[in-house]
Amino acid sequence: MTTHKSTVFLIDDDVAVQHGVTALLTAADHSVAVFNSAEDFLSKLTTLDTVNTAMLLDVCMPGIQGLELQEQLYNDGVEIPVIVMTGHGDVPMAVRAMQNGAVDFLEKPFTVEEVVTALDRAFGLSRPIVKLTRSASPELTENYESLSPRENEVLRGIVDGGTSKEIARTLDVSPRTIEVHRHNVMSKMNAKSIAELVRMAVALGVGD
Amino acid sequence: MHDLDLIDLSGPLADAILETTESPIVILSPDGSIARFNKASETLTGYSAAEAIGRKVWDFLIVDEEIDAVRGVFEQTFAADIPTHFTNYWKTKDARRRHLKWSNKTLLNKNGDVTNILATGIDITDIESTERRLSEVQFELLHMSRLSTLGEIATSIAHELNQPLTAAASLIGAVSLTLKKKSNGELCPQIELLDDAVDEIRRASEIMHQMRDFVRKHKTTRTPHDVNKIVEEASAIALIGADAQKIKVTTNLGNNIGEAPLDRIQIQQVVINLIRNAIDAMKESPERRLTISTQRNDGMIAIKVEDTGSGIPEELKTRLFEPFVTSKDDGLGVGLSISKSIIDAHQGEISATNLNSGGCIFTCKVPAGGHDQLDDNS
Repeated sequence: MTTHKSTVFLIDDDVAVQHGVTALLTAADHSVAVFNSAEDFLSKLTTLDTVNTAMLLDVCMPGIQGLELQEQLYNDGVEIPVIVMTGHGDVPMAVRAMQNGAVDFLEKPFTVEEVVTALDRAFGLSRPIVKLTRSASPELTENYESLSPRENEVLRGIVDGGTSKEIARTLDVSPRTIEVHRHNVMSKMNAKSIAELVRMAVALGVGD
Repeated sequence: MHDLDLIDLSGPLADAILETTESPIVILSPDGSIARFNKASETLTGYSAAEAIGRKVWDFLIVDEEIDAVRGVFEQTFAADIPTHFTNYWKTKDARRRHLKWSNKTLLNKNGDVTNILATGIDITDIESTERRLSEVQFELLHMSRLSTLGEIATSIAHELNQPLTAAASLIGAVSLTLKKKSNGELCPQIELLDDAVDEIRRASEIMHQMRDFVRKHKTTRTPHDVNKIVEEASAIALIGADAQKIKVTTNLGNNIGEAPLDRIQIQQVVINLIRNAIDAMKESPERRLTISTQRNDGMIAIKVEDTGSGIPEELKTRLFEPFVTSKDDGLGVGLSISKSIIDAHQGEISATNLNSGGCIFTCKVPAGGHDQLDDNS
């Protein structure tokens, strides 16, 4: 951890969420700057010190949506690590955000551990933000190749944002079977979270 | 009483009428045998006049289950009492069934005796099947619209409730984190209680989203459809009653619009919704013109619905496609948000613009594509 206080830009249109998440981040020793919308953030961007900052961005807002803001920041060369906040189960949106260069995603509501882990990761980044591209390490490729054909299909299903039930219907097996495959996929890929699995899948070019 | 007999019915005027009309007309003798069989009857049945004349209708034209009834009319009540209107089925030479609606006139001689029966028919087979199809489509749409309204509401509630749940979980998390720091690593039962509370909040959120997934609209199944045909069918349903409201409807479907991969029911639901909205918007308007059109441009097919109503109120403009936004007193405000989510799912776009002349125009665009272009998506 740095000795300098790190600042989190929180962008969410809901006042209660702003209040709660600010309290949580303050308790976790971060300073917080709150913005009501993407427009609000953009209008103040030039006045902001972006050193040692990260962004907690709600993807679903009126006006400019989270994904569009990410796109705009990327095009403008603004290098703030972005963590997107999605609704529960909105994996397709999360996948798109990750492809857009988000360092992680949090499903609302999140726990202290989840948000702290994600922020540590964001602040630990030394390289500028890049869009995820196919750049799989040999180890990752090896893990991927150890998946059975069925496990591979399940991985694609997860990345496409399917629930176990939906994947089960597509593959015509029971949801219970999918749960087992899902567990095997996570452990063979050595992924601790769906976010990590998504990151790996993007690096591997799964679903391109 | 006119003095008509068979001679008159063979005259040049009768010939001209009988042989040019598209209605099947037969002239029967009181015993049920055919005296005249016009061109339309020939076309309809496949029998020539030569084949038909002199034979009794029930010997070859009437479907089996109706023979007794038709014979009964002739034999028992005699031709004078033949009902002036009835419908029955004819079987054609190649054994197809056609449903015919008849208007009958008994022809009398000077003494008042029945010499002939003039039967003029309308083939209602196709009209009936169109009506049946229309009511099927209407039923499907109604069902879908209920389901997707429910789905839309569930999605909105899930999203709206998730925000306070997120706030609550974060607040509790903040307290838990503060306590953890103060306890310096010592076990603190209160922290566990707080973490349990967060777990329960997450459970509530999951239950809500499962509910949403359960009622969420079916996965769209998109197959290539003729867009003009879809719009025509939807308009037919949406415009029921439009005449009564004195609305002048112009349909302007472009040539060579072609196909697009669509979920037919869903797109029709959008079109119907836009037309109904347009009709509602013109309730107070002195001039009520509705224009439904299609265009094809740069690989996109546009469906447009234009009205001369009151236009979109300024304060609703930016939130028009959000759920629970409505300018109607009795509206739920989900129609346009459902329409938007349907069009989004089709990789299309929906927009609304107020017109300078008053009224507004809604435009939905979807990517064009027929059978040959579908392989890309497999």
